[in-house]
Amino acid sequence: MSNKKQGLSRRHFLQLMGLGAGIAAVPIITKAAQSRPHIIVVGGGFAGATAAKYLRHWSKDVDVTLIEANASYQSPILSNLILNGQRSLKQLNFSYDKLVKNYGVKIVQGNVKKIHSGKKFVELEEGKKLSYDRLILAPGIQFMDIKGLDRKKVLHAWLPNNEILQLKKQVLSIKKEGVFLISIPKKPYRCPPGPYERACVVADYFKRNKLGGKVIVLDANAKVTVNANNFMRAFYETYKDIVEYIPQASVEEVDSDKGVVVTDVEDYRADVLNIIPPHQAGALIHDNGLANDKSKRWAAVDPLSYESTETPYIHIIGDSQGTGQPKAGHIANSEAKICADAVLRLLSGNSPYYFPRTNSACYTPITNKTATWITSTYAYDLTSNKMKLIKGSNGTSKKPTEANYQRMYDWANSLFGDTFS
Amino acid sequence: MKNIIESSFFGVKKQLLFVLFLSFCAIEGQFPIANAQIQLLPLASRTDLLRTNIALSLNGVRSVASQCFQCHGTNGHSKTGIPTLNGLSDETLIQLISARKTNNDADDLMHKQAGAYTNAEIAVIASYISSLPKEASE
Repeated sequence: MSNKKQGLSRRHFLQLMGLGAGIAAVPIITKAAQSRPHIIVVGGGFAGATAAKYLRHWSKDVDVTLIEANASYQSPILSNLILNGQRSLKQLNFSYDKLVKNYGVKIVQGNVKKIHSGKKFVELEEGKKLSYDRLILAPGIQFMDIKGLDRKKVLHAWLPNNEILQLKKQVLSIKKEGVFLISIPKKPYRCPPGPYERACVVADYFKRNKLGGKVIVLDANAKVTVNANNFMRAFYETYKDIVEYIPQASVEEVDSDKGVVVTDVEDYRADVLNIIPPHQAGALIHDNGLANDKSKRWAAVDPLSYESTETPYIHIIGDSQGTGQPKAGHIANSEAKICADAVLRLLSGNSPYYFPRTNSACYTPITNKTATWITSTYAYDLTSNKMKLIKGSNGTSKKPTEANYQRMYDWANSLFGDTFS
Repeated sequence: MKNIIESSFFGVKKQLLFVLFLSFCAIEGQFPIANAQIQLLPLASRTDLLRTNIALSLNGVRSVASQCFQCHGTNGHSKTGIPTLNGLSDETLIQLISARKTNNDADDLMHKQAGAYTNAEIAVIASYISSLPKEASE
């Protein structure tokens, strides 16, 4: 009795589900399938690294290859603390060695040139071809253009690289009565509290060093998008002489040499510009026709499995996906686990788990000694086929505290550990 | 596009039937339900019980329980100041999580997190975490 045509054997199925041990008494009458499923993950940030790790954590019956352009990951989480000297680039750098050593993930350093979804293989820039049973894409974000913006002169420091060090040099070069300007794009953008947090960290530096001057916050949104009670108090009380918060100010043009920003409200000049342009899904998503949500900027996916609604066997997690959940590292890790579990189920011929939960949490410094937190939890809603905020699960700390500053390091270090080791 | 929507709706129906079948089996005692744990808590609704049974029987709890690990470490082994969950009994875990759910301290992030789960889900999560291997990966 051959089971080849019936797909995976019962034992294989149980192993994939991680249930093998508990049901060992079931007589095994079929042979294990001959070829092991191969899952390729592209992108080694919080989403991709977590997916690669948990696929192997939960099943030793699949092979996992993580394709990533860089040899290690430079975390944007906590990177605003490089500006005030409390964290170094090195402390926020993570290698993929532990994913290899502890979980048997295979790492391929390189860039994907093209996805051949029909024959289910990816082609790397160097020409190498790798076939997959399931492909998980986690390429993060790319920026959209702003007229006149020269990104070599005007920095964003919003990607996992060392640009934050250059921004730090620029901030340290600001003289008395100088002006720092940060702009926030319209939602959705990566790390909702991040720009406000950076404004606070820079304002705190101005205040402690008695620079006078101004931190101008140009927000394309109608109001502070997240943790508004704490950020508004910081802008209007803690830093009332320093921060000038301007909502509904969308950056239309930048003079990168003169340091002038043209908005639909008025023009602003600053010694250092930190323009965070509007985002869309990573190039890999757009280049392969996967940016199919309403805005055509993000990838529409099934929230139970993160499988593309455009192309089967391709899953998209992290900032590139368009479920409407926040775009940030903590929830990217959360989505990656849902996706990894769903992929293992799908490979064993089962359906994804039906009541997934995801959560978002983040600690945010307000000064160099105090921090606040935000959190929210999401559940799958059958009627709308969407992940919906669970009523009452979202909240923020009442005020910034020193205890929360310590908890911020615990939170970040735990997340780094659960993702990279 | 339309086909995908239709087929996923069909999938929903199939899944629901399966769910009802499983929960019937579970009520009949065919599945490893954390009865003892559930009885420690007031049951919110019949739906909770169904979810619980399905979660356990399909190992769906892995997907839900691992949502704790962002902060509490993989398999509940914390390497930071956040408490380790691994090695605690299911009763202890239920008590700890339920206490955070009930205790409304305005500066407690975990109060908001715990509040997002039903008592039955907490029981299942506790049962799963208490069953995990005690060794950490490193």
